[in-house]
Amino acid sequence: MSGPRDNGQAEPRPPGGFGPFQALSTFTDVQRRGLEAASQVIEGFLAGLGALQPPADPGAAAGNGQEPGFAQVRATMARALDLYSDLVRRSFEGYADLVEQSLRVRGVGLHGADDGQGELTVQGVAGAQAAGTVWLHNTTDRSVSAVLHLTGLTAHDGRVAPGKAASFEPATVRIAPGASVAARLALPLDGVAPGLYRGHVLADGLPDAALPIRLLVTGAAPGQP
Amino acid sequence: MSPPVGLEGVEATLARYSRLTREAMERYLQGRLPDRYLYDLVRDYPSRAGKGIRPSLLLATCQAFGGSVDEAIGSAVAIELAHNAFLVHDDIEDGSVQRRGRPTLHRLHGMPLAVNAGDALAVLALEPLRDGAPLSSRVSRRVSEEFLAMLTRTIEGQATELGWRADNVVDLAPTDYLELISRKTCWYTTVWPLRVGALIGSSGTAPLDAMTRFGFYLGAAFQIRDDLLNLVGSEARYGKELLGDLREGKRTLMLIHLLAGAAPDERRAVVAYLAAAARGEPGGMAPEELLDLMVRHGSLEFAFQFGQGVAAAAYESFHQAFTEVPPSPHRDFVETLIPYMLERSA
Repeated sequence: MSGPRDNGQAEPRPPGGFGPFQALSTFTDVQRRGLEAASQVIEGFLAGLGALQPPADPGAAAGNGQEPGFAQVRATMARALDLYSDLVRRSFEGYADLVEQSLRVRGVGLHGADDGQGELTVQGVAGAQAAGTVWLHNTTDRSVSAVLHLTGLTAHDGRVAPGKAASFEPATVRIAPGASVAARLALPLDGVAPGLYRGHVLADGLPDAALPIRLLVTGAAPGQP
Repeated sequence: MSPPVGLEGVEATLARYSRLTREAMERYLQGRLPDRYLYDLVRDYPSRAGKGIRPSLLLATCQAFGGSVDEAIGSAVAIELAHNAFLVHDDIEDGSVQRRGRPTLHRLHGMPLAVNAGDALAVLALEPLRDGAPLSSRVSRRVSEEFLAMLTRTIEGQATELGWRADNVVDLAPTDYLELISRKTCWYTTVWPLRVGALIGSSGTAPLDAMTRFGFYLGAAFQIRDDLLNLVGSEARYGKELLGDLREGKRTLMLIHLLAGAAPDERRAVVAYLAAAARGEPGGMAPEELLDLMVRHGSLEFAFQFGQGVAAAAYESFHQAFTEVPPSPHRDFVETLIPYMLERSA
């Protein structure tokens, strides 16, 4: 292989016994310029890197000059430690996944519009209409179908707002595995006196699903029919 | 693997590592859709066999430090994909017409699809670095950090070069050129492959500053040779259109030398030529005339000798970087890349 060595300009030197300027006497002026300029740039670059870089990895060697055998032992130890560390980490991650899975309730849940909360609040003026959105979240691995309906809503004094007058759009909800679907609730308030009423949205076909609903009916403003 | 002998030996070893990487890259890219507008384009440049210097340097260094090809092949694929992403975008930025002996991607498919394919290559390059076997999570994380730092430096270097051309910056010294290529070329061509090869092979225990130093000298020798080949190489072997750098007004060591040594009227003509090149217009002289000026002023000889000085520094810094590494064919191969950088014709 020809190159610096075969050019007779830079003979091989044993490790450790060199410096970039050692062979300068055998260089042409331009070659020396190349070597000096490159050394200047790289040393400046490394100095800049030193200021930017985080502290060295604790496993990394402090410098050169150690025997090759020692370097191999050091690398082998680092591999063993990494292997052990990854095993421990993966064991904990696996355990955490299992716990999360066991804690996760699988089924179909009904939730209020705002947020996934456990209660839906709707309001309207007596004689008009109240409306809201019900979300169904299917966390099972099968498709689910349900027909929503509203129970009667009862005030603190026993007055009742009939739930049968309510309608849902769509009337029948189909939810794919892992999907969520919204249904729009419309409740006419004809003949319903002002007050606060409570009841539930239920789903035919989903016996465990129920969403508490809170209906606030206000009186018509003066001058309005 | 026996030690490489001569240029042919080095090229045979490069071809072997390159083939390993290309096969892994093909497995990684196969079966992705849509073909027609994206992945056919993404697979184009990687399928045009390059020299494979980056993955070869990485794989050989990893093996020299005691690691295996399996451990480093993901990183080799990552750097090749990133390299090809850079090439697609460089060809557009430079208005190049030929890459590895064939028309450039934007000439084949148009600018918008080529830009998008370049983006895809850059993003796909990150995937092989995801945490997972066979690397430990600690080493994997460090490789990813090194990769992101390398990408940043390369893009910064490219921006500087494009800016010099756009603003027609002509008062430059060889050290400016070296600083430019330390970012634009060295980091992703030699420094990153050496650092990451050592990092993986030694499980993160090898000191990397010495690798950076060696990688810089080696990459600088590579780039100087590349610039010379663009002027006096064989187009068939080089794979790009000759004198392309002169047409683009690229700031090479030869151009910097000519600007410093030309007579005042010659310098004015060269500066006017570069200003026209920045606007994509023909200057007052042909690229061949500019080359002739460089030859007459000894700029090519200057660059060649300057590169020899850099390579000598590379040779010495190699011994510092690999002092802890026991003798092996992989270590020998990395060492023989130094004279190869000066003598290669492709």
